[in-house]
Amino acid sequence: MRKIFTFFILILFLSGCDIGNQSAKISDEEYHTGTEGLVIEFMDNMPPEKVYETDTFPAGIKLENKGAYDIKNGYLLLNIEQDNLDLQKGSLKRSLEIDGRSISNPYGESQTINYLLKANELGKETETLTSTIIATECYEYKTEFLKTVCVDTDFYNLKKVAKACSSEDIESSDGQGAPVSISKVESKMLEEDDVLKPTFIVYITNNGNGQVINSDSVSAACSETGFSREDINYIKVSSFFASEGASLTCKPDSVKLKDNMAVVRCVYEDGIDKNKESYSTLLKIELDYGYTQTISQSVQIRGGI
Amino acid sequence: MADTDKVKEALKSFFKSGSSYNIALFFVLTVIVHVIDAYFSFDRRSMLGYVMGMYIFIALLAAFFVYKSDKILDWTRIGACLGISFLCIILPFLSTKLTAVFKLVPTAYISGIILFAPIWPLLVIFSNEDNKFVKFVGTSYILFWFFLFTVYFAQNVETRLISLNSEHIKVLEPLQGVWNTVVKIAKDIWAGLLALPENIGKAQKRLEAEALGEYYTGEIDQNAQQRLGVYIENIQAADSSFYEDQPVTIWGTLIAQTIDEPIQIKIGCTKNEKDAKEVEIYPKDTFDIDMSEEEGIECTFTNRSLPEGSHEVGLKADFNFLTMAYIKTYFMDTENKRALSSQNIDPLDYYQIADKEPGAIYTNGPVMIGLDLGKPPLMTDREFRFGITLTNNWEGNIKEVTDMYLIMPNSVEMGNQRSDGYYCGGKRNYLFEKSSCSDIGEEDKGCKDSTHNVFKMKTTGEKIKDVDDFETLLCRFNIIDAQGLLGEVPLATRYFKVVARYNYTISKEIGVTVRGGDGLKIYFNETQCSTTCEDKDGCICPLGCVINLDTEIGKGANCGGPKGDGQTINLTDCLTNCTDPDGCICLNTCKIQGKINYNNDCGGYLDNIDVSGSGTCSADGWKDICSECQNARDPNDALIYEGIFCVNNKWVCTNIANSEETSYKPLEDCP
Repeated sequence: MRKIFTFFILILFLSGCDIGNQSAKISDEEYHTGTEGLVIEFMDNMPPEKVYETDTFPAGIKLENKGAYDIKNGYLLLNIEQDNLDLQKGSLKRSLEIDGRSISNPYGESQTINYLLKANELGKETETLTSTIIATECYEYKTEFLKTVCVDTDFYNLKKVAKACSSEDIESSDGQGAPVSISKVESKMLEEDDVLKPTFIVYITNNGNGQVINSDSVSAACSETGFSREDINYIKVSSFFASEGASLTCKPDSVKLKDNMAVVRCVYEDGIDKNKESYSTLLKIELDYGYTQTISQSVQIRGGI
Repeated sequence: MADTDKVKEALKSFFKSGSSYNIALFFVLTVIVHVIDAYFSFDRRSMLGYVMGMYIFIALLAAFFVYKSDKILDWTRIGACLGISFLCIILPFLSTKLTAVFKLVPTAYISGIILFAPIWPLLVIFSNEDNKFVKFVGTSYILFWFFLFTVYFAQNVETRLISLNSEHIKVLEPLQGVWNTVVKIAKDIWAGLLALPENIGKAQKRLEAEALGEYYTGEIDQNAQQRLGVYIENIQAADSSFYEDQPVTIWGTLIAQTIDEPIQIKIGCTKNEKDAKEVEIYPKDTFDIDMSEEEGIECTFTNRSLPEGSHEVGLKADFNFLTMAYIKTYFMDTENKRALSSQNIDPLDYYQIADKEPGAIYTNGPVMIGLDLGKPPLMTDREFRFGITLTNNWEGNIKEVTDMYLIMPNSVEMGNQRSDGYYCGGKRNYLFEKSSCSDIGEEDKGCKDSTHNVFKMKTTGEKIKDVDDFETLLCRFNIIDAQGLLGEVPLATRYFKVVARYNYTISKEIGVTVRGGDGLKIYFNETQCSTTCEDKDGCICPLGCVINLDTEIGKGANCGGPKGDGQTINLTDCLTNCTDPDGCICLNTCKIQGKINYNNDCGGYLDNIDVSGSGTCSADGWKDICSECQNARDPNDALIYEGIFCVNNKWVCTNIANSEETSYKPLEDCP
């Protein structure tokens, strides 16, 4: 009986350890999944659908960072029709710092920004008028792709020994906790001068509803200047083997999305001795970009007649 | 008839393959689609995509499932079904164009036809008489229309019966009323047909101007509940016919509604589309309206100011009015727009702009102000065009535009500056000068001098007047401060406004008939049955005459003659009144000779009767000579001569001859 009890306790203990490990693993992946970044929406009935001229009314914008990257350089721009509305409280452009999801903050940080607006008096004999309130967010963001890949020195299976791992393509439809995601990584091994060069074809997709911009022009995008042609869809790509700390060369290192997609090739130029055994390592790909998204809501202003 | 049968057979054969159940279901579906279409007011702008989807779906359903043919792809059938659906889609759109051309057909009629005569359901009804359900619905539909027609007809007749003001109902009167209405409609249609070339010309002009990009339209604020403007309604006349001796009175209801701008209305009366002078206007001929007013007004045309015949008389109102219009547009930095466009991104989509092609919104009233600024977003590094079209929206006339203001953000100003002002092109040379919001009375109400530029049409320049249809002004605007225009935002929404004050004339006419006379008929007595009626109102015959009882006779006619013996009496002298209803015959020596009417005489004796001549002064010869001298009487019928002197067969009536002379014969001795 004592043996059975001891066995039961041991099983329970081991199970507990296992459950604990699994939980930590799932959580870590969870933060880096999803295709959302900074989610923006108007709060319910803020602004209201209908107001009367000279009414003062609130407008509220809720921002939630549902991605896995902390926003340190972000802006929110409120665009109102100056002929019809006056901003009574708040500023048209304000900076944002909102943390993303992490172990300490599993849901990501959210902020509510409130404004107070006043409907201007309508012109003579104008009975109703519909005015649009536009809110634009612009922020710097990053996508981190971290997966175990196989550096397969026997890509064509010519060696007569068992391999530790085989090269495989990686597909990811869940995203990496950012609006721009890496949907697929194809692994190749290029042989050059008796050296194997691990090569990865990286497929990048904008899965969000916004626009990708150069991370350096985040502030300009939320201003009267807007975008320049070079800044739109601009993403900086970098890659390295996380285990070794070895950098890969990505070509191009700054890519422009076309139809919300782009393909980059990253090569480990130093190469690996082809006589070396195949081994697994962590591949990290980082995409640096700015992201901007706009929402709008209409308000009907009625005359006081 | 044979042709009708052929068409019916062709339709039947077209729809022959549909099973009874399918047809019933399909019929219900077509009705549902029509109701949905009607619910959205047959909107062919914002709902076009949905509407096309619905009707194409119906067409394909009909072609492939409901009325499917033996062939899998029967292109004729598919084409026909799509054609019918195309008609359903295009008809509401065409109706607006058609009413512009065929002004004789009121818009309400066409709207009614589109609403109550849905093409697909009617086609199904009248091509599937064998289907009980469809037949039932079809019969109900016809009964429904019959019921509506009966109610309408009954109401019209009832109205006329009430207005008869008679102790007994004359059966023919309502029919007469209906006849008059039919005649009026026929006249209206004829007038419309006569005006057709002119209306086609106007529509053509508009189409040409549209093609050239020089005709701009707008929409009335859909949410506006107020019916602004001046209206004359319910115009009526005291009667449909009057006598020229009577005053003619017409009245109507004047409805005026304004929000802010006071209106001064001058009432007038029209006669055959011209101003009438001899009129009395009640209660007054000038109204000052601050907000709204509804007043009964009357025009009385004084006696004999309307001659005999048919006339179009009406009430006229001259008034000043104000119409405002605005249009919003979007501005973007040029580089920003190019950057987005280069990536095939629509800038307006990107900035979540729902109203991507904002149109002009104008206040209700007789004039539509259409505005156009070109396709947004506009770039901030260049000038742009501002088109303004004033369209006469009512049946009246724009007499003169007294003021016109253009209001724009202060980072924009008018281009085309000349020495005498800012110039806008178009039909005339329009000149503008700088003004201010306070000049319009708009300060702090959508216009602030600190944030807006205002330009006013110069009074010294050419004025817009006598606009029958439309007039377009083409102006150019310059952006003088791009950064100020955008503010802090990449896409700025800015409003441009136009305020127009003008004088407008409306009139409403009604047809009246003026008859000659005073409305009173002359009664003939029994002896006047043959007398000619000289009264414009007609005459009434005495009992017993040939004309039936109560039958009236018109001017120039008589009662057809008395009940005489048909014989005339020969009068023996020229002074006796004729007492025979058949008339009398006068002597040759009378001033009036031949037949005279009853109660007339022969006008007395001739003055120049012969008193000498040649004749045989013996035996029977004396008889004629005696007669001559005896008839030579004075107007009092007294004998003038006593005897005849005759020598050598030459005779003369005399008073002086000696009676003893052998050649003398006293009249008393005459045979």
